[in-house]
Amino acid sequence: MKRAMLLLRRRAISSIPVLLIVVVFTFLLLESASGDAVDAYLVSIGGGDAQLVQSLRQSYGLDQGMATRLWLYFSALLRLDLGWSVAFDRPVLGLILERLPNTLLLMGSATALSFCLGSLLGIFAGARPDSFRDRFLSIGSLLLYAIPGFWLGLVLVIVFAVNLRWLPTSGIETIASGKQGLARAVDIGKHLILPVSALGFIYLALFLRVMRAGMVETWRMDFVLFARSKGLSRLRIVLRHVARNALLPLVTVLGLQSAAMLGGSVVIESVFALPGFGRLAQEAVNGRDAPLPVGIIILRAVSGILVNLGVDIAYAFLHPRVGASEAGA
Amino acid sequence: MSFFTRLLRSPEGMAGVIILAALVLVALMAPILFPGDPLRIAGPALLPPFSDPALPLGTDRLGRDVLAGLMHGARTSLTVGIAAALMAIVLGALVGTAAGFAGGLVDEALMRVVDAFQIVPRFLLALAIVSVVGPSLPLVIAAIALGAWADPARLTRAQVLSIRERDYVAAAEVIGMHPLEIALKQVLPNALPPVLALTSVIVAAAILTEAALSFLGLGDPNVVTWGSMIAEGRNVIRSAAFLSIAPGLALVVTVIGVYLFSEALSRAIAGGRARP
Repeated sequence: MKRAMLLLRRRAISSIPVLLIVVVFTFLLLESASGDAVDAYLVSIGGGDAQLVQSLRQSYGLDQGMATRLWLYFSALLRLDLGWSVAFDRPVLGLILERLPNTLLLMGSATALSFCLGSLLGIFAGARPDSFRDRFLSIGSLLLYAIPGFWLGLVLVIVFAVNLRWLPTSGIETIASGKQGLARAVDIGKHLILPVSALGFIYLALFLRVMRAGMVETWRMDFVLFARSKGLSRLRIVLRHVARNALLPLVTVLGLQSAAMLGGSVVIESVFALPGFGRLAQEAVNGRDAPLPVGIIILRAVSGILVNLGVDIAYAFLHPRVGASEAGA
Repeated sequence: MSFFTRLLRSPEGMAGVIILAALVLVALMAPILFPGDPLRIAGPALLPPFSDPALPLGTDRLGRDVLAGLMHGARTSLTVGIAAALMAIVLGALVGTAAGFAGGLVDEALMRVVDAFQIVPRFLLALAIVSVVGPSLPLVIAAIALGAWADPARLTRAQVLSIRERDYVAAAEVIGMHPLEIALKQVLPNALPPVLALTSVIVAAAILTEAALSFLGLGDPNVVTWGSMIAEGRNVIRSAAFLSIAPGLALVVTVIGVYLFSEALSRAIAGGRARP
């Protein structure tokens, strides 16, 4: 436990400068946008005279030098103020938090799908390396790597929603259906089947490949030879000895995937018209609303650092040697 | 056995080489076979494929030639993929070499920047840059490269750290070579091969990212791209699904070609080292 805490403290300290760099980068990005918040505000109220512009710039601190403005930006972030969305005329943080549950639902289900199915197929492929099914699955995973997520989503819509009419084409639930409780949950579930499959299948390939590679590696270990010589059944060796040891790298992949999946969910949400966090980024872009995508990036960086810390803790628990050097010091 | 016979020996390598060669040919031939702007109106709107020999794959909602769009789209995809990967590799190799060589504070600072770029999802980064600065092809390429340079930087640094302990680097120091010369002439060339192996993965990712950006309407509006063709076909998905399926298939084939080629290439390089 002490070992894990020490590791955690060191990682947390080293992630502070990373976050600072992200903040400075986003500040520079906002600076490079043509026009500032006052210009955007003036457009929204229909223009104003030079004196109004001057007093507005003064009150927002926009007439200060770059260093002062960076400090203002930074101190606002510390107060959890991510800025004002011009397109929606609301604070950025509130907007993001409002859309977050839908995205978490989509990403969580898709991660669960790709992790479970990917690692199962990986075990299936790695149980007999270089067999027919192994080669078949690695060609399949290559294909999944190559398919753009948004296109897979469209193809699923064409097949299952347009031609077969089994599932709804878009949205998170039936509009104004008046459904409550369980009926509503079933309705949302039906709407999520296609987007979750599109997102989950795209990211399944990596889990499959890492699991398979880990198993191929583990087959060569002495303890597997020993298990064989004990006369254990093949299934027992595959599940209890090989697969179990190959599972560890998958935890790291799980952390890495969460970043990639957020990128993928932007497009999937837009294909299926799901009102989520990712689609918000696209709406912001269409509305020429710079603070919104930048706010999303900062929030994403913070959550990414937290996810990585979580992965580190999981690792320290699963693997007794990780962080042992810290405890000895 | 020469390098190329080794490359072509496996069926996967052969398939990859054929796909990529065909794509490059298509990209080069597009302006000759279909001169003029592929975005211009070429015939009646929504002509189904295989009905008019002059427009073999039919037309889209605005009467634009689908085959011309697909061929010109190959140009855009390959350009973006290759240019973005080159930029990312060069930037990553330079930063990685600098970090690995300088060590100490410089190393620490550069690696934190690398961390920062790895923590932000690439696609969101590209989306934010393009949305703030405005969509044009060079900017899309730069935005994609900026999201992709962190991996090559990390790998180059690891390579440099292991190589600079070798004897020949110590020898170069002893004969009084300038540190910069050692870095560029002795260490970098030996550190690069595994980094170059990342190229194809970056090319494939860049092609897919560009497609997703232009699908969302953030690509260069003056260039034909497969992503924008899919987005355009989406409007008539119930009546003419072909319009969004065809460019997607082109994307899948391209990316598979890149992957197959890269796997065969890295196997050919590894085989060449094992038997000198």
